[in-house]
Amino acid sequence: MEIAGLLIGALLTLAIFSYLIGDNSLYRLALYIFIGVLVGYSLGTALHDVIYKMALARILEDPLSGEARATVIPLVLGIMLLFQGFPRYAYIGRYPVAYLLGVGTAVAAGGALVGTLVPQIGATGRAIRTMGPLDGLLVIAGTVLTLLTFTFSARKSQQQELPGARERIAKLFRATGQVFLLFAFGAAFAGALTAALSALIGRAQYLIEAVDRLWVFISSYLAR
Amino acid sequence: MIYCPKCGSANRRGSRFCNECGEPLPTHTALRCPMCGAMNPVGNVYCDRCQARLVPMTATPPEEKRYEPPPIKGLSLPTIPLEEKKEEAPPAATEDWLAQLRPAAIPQDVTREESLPPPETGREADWLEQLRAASAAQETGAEEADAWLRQLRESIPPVSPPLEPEPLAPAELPDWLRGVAPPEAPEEAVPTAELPDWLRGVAPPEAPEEAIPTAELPDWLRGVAPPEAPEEAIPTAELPDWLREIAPPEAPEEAIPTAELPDWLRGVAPPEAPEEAIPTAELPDWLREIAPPEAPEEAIPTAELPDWLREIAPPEVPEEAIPTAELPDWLRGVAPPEAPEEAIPTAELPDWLRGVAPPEAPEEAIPTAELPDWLREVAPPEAPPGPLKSPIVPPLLEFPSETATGEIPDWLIELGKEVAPGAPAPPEIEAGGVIELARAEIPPWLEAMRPRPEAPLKEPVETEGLLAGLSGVLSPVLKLEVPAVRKRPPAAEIKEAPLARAQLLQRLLTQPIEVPQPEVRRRGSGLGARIQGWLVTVVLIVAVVGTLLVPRILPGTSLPVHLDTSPARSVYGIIQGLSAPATALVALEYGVAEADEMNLVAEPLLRHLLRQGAHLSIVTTQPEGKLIAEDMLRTIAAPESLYTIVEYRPAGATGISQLLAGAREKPGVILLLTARPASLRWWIEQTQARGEKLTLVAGLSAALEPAAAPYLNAGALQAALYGLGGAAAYESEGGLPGRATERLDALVAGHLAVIALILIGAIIHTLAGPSQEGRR
Repeated sequence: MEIAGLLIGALLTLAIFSYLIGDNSLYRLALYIFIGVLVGYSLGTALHDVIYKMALARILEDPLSGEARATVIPLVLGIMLLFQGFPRYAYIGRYPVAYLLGVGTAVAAGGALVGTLVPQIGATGRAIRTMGPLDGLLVIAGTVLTLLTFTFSARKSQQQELPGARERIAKLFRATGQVFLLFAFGAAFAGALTAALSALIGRAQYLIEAVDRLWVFISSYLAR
Repeated sequence: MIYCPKCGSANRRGSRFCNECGEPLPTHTALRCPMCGAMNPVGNVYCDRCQARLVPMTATPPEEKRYEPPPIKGLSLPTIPLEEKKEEAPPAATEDWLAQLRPAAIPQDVTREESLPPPETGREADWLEQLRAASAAQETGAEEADAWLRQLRESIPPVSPPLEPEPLAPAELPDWLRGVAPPEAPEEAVPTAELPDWLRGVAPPEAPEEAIPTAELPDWLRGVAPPEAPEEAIPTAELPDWLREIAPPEAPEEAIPTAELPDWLRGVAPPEAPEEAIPTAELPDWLREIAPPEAPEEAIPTAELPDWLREIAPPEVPEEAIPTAELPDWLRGVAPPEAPEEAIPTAELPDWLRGVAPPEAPEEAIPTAELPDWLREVAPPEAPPGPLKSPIVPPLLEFPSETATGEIPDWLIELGKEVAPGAPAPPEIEAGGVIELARAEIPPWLEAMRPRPEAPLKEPVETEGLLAGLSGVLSPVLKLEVPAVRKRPPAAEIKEAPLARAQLLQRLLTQPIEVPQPEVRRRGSGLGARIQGWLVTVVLIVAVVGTLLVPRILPGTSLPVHLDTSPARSVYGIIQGLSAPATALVALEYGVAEADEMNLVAEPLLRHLLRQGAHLSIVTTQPEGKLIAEDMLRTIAAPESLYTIVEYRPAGATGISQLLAGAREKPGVILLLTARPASLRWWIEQTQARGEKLTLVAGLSAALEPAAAPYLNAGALQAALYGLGGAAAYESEGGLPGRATERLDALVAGHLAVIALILIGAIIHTLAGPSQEGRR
């Protein structure tokens, strides 16, 4: 069974690699299998881990418990979401959607403010002290110029340009900020390339190990 | 006998009241026979002497004729008192004479002599008695006279249409003509009062007071006339030839043979018969007896004589007689011959004959042959243009006395005028006339109804359908109201611009929808790009696979790698600082696609935690996270290891917040294993949002290093380990050899290969110049 799984994995991997020669049926077959298995598994997981364990199991286990009562509201909201599939009664599903968006926005906004903006502004302010003057200034310059780049790059027409020297300064800021962005995107691309190489290495390592195991399996089989 | 007018019973003569019912009997009234002049008691229908009809025959419609009334005997019929009749209408002398001529010709019926009332005394009675005596003296007996009279009467019926089946049927005759039509039976004489005017003139007078002067009689009648004949006789030359023959004996040289004369005329006829008599075979039968033997060359045309005179008039020998075949059968016997070319002028006629004399035929008279058959009978004689003032001249059209002139349609009068344009007007009504037939004036409204002589309109004849062959069929007219058709309002004037827009819109709507697709230029579709792609692929595969295979082929060989161990050292220190039974909350937030890289990062960290004796609580917001965690822990976890897979947590940041809020105890460390920036941000933010001092370390993909650096510098993330390099550094730092170290050479080889490709490409790009795509 392990050999079969290893062999199927190896074949699907080769089918994905076949995209190097162009779009082909093997690539699409492997892609559909991957997506299908993933969606099916995700659906099963949602039904089992969310609807059953987090809602029905609690109600069926002790309907009068606090967890059960607290589960009723999410369960009703979840049922109301099903009406989104019926245009005539779609308005019923808007209430749980509104609730989800409201709660999600509130959670995200609070977390972004506390977890992202304030810490990063603080970090930028502490950059010179923590990173040294050069790195600190570079961080501050990079942060400011990047923000200015997004600010001034939004101007498209001549009328929106600043008059005189201020426009030239703005252009300088935009250009400098774009340089910082290039470095940032370069670093991100390097990280992505490193991640892709890691995936390639992992797949190559998988194939090599698969071949090794098949060889061992075949050798052991032949040795018998 | 006097019959009671009420009960009809007979009473003795001279009775004044009826013996049966007491009804007063008419003593001074009697019916005079129009034929013989004998007086008949009231109630008689036929004359007791001559059996002539006393009650007038009125023209009745056919349906009325079918009705047979009960015998009228015993009824009081309308009569005319003799005294009043004498006062009102004194007949002319000639009429009286003619009226007396007939009874004189009628032989005496000896058997009825006794029943008849005694004839009235008068001069005519005397000479009639002599005439009778003379007749009786001759060989003719009474029976022979009756036979002759019957024969004469039988010759008349052809004039009556109803008696003849072949001629015009009574039904075909108009009502007004039925009265004019010849009598059905000659035996039924019409009373004088009911006769038309022109007949009254020739009818025998009932009681002429004055005898006819002999001078006014024709010569041939002078022998019949009473002895007191007038002294001045009409010259024989002025008489017509046919009258000369019946004139007194001394007139004609050629007497009619006695054998050919009627019996009653033999005594009257001149003794000497003409030598050249008309052959009897050429005469009609009925005329052989009365016709004069010789046909005079210039005789009064028979057609111009009244009908009753034709019977006794001498037959003409017309030069151009109308063919008998053209006449109706019933007229053949009485059809008058055409008038002679030279008629006797009226002035030359005796006075008494002027009334009877035929009018002078007009020069342009319509020939009789051109008239319809039914009009030949009633057609007026061809009279001269000037009206005859003689009251006895028959009118153009004779109508029964009962018929008012106003009832005669004008068209018939007009037609009569057309037949005889020069015909005289109806006889003038004298002041003392008995009958006053005044022409009624036709009212205008009736005049408008007169049928026009125009030819009838030719109406179309149906050619098809059930009514085929019928004419005058009304054309079908649609009577149903046709529903009103809604008139559409006139089209508004359309300008060119809106019309062009409408046409454009219509053209666009009818065209198939072709969404303009932006031209996507597939990268690498060209041969050079394919070669570049294949070249890069081969280089990378060779670099990676070769690096991986080298240790297998050449064990102990590796590439020199300088690892930055500072991040790994930070992480390692945090994990190393956990003490048992610490709880580590592991957030596994990567999928299958990132598993090849992230598994190499996660394995040294998890092994380190497990080695530290931490209780792993594995949570994930990815559906497949649970599968990856199970597979990985099955590989690295020892049987005694404690770990718990908390289940899948949906809802992203909310789920993470709810998870952190629902944690029963504060985890010692939160290990975030993710390759997605969102998961990194959510976990960092929610951890910071909790307000609690939580240790958050992350094992991230190499691609997230730029994203995690700010959080790491800001202190939101305490430590982070990036990619295969960081994992290898962690393994080396912790003395935990693993697959990351094995694959680090492949990663370095891959980086070198990529650097080499970038450099080669840059060099080629520099040397070859920008490509066409780059120039665009």
